[in-house]
Amino acid sequence: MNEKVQIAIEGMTCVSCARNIEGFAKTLPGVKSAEVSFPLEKAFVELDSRKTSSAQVAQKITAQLGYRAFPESDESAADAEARAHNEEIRRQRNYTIVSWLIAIPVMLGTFREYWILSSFVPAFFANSYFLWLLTTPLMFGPGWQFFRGTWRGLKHGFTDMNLLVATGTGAAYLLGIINTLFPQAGFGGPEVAFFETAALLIAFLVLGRYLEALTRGRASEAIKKLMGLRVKNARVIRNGKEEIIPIDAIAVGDLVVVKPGEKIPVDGVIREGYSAIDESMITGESVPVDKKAGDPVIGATINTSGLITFEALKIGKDTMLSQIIRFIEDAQLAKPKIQKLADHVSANFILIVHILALAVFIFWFFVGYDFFFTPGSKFLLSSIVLSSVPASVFAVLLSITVLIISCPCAVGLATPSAIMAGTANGADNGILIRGGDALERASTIDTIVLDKTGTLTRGKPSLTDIVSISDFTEEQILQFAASAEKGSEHPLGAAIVEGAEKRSIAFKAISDFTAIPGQGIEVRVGAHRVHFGNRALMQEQGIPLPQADSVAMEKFEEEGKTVMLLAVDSAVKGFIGVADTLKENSARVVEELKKTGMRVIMLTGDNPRTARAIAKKAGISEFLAEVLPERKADEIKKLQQSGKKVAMVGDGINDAPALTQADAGIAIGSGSDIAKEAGQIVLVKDDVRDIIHAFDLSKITMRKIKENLFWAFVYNTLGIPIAAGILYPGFRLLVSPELAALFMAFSSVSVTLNTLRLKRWQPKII
Amino acid sequence: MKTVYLFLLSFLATGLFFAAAVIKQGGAGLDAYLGSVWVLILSLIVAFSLAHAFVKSEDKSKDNAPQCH
Repeated sequence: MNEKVQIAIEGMTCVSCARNIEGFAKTLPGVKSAEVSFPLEKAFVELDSRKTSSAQVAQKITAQLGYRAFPESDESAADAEARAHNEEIRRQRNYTIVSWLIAIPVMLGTFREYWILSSFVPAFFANSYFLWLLTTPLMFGPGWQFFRGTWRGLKHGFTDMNLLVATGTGAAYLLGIINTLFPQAGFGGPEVAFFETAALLIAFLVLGRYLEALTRGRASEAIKKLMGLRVKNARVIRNGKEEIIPIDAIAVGDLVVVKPGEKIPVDGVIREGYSAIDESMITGESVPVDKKAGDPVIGATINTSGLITFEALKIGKDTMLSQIIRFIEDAQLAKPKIQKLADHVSANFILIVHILALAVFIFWFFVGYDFFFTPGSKFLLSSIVLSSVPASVFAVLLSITVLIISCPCAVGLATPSAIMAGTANGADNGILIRGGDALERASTIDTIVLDKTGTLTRGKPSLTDIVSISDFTEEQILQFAASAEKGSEHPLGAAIVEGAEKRSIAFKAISDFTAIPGQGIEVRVGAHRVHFGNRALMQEQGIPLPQADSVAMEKFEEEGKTVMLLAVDSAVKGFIGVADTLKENSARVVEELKKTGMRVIMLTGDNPRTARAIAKKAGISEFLAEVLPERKADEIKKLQQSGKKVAMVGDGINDAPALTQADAGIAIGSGSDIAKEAGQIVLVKDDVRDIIHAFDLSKITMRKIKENLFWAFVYNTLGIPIAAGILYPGFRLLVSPELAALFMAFSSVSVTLNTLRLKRWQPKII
Repeated sequence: MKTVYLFLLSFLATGLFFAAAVIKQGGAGLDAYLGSVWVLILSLIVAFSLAHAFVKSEDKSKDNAPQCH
């Protein structure tokens, strides 16, 4: 039986590690597919549960590849993952401190002869044996992780960034030893021992790893925050008694008691009590929502005021919270097209970089050194004078610099880190985006099709007008109509009853209720005979309707409203208008969409008259009426064929074909079953303003991805030729390996920091 | 087999480098030896990476091959 599992992985150092683990996991028996996300530090594995388990896969990754892997099946595993991540941060921080405590004296000793250093740096610091003594623990302490990582990879046929670093630092360290032990060997002697190159390389690279571990943790904290919302225990009623049980023990149908201030453990429906529920953590809605018996509640939200008892309907993986977490995790794996180039570069970078380093070495050994080298050359921001280095050492130094500067970790991080931040920020605000592809498509939309019912309108009729044409007051008309409809199950009747309740109108006792299909109702209210319904009902009952009032009614009907007449004792007293009304913010949202240059179209199955009325109110000039649900997708297709990039906003389940057909399908607040939603973007709240926010967020995220890729590529495109010595013949400019390490460390960190600015994104107030 | 050829090629490349260095410098100096060691290291890594890439592409083509039932 196939099962999808997640495995948390600690200890990856770059995208290459992720690719290697992916390759290894795919070779394991029982594993159908595997995908590893470096920024998420997770493997998503599909396996045959009869042949293997997530624990076995994790154990093999740990034992054979040396990473720390934990199956993500229970909370203890999540805790273990968090512990391992913190441990990694602590270890890299300690390594960084130790590295710099050693690297600074090495640097001071190397440069003792320069500036004013000789006045306070003891002479023995400059002794190359002393520098060797200092650098050795650095190589075998903090620097050892690069060699261990290299060996671990080579053993399994993998190469990664560790190999680049190990080659570079190892070569510099060995050159230092040769120059110390054999000063006459002709490699520059003790004056250019290169120990400082090895020491600073390691110090900068370890600093980079520390900063990366810190920022990577911050970028994925949104998911951890969502996971942290989970409740551990719940108070359920079993055998008539309240019992506190672990959340895993809750069964569907259990009655769960939640006191004020407590979190709601799972999803369900309130059976008793009422309260204001703070749903901000799930929907982004800042104001607590009033809930009463019959209303749904979402797990992980907070019961702020009253005591409620609810029936558990969704538990474990089916809760909205679990679905949101899964949605985001899946989203962060879905790659946009823009990442293909980055992936292609990252996938082959070890090979490319070493070929480059080899080419640089051969050029400088055979040609460059003889033509361009002048004794007394210096590295950029370094005091080392290359006075007596031979061609081999000079060429080795330049090829080491190329090895160090070429690592395209920033390229590998650019897209996934931005997608992670964008989707996580969206989730914080109730906007779920199904990955990079959805983001990319949403950012290019030029036409938006809005479904009418439930998207622009509330989706259910509500009372809009009360008109008296007699001595009855509007209140009396509503009182009679609502009392008469109290027992009716018709949606129009329900709208009138709700309208009366909102106005706190007392209902009158009724008797002799008769429903007349297609026309209305007849009922006795006290001593009066009441008819409430359409024109046909009045005609049938022989109740006259003055011509002037008939014209007034037509005006309401032109506006898309349904008009019902109230007759008391065979005399028409007034009429009531009911309509599916626009949502509070629909018109403003349409205006905002138009401002961005989008073509806005309304789509509805309703008749053209109603459609026109609603479109007019919403400020939409283009609408398509009488479009059956199954034909909605065809209309989208037609627009696409005319060259438009179309977004469709609608109900995630009923409008599924149209949402799927659209370039960007946006499902709006259709309940708690996110997994069933067809849209690439799911708006958890029933708030049309989130349409604008979703477009805004996708555009900003795409901009971040492009910025990140631009800077990462610019860094490599400029860095590699400079490291290869292209500026040396003309400007005598050389980049030292340690400066390359600094650039490399900060390129990854700057990409991550640029991405983290996405966290500041807030939905704009509309 | 490809892997073996690749590794042999890297030794061959190192040999060629050494010969060229000796010719250029008029003898087998330390420069030529150090350069050869560095060329050997880099070319072995290139060979290793290429071999790994071949193995991966072979695996992929096996995955895509029609299966007999």
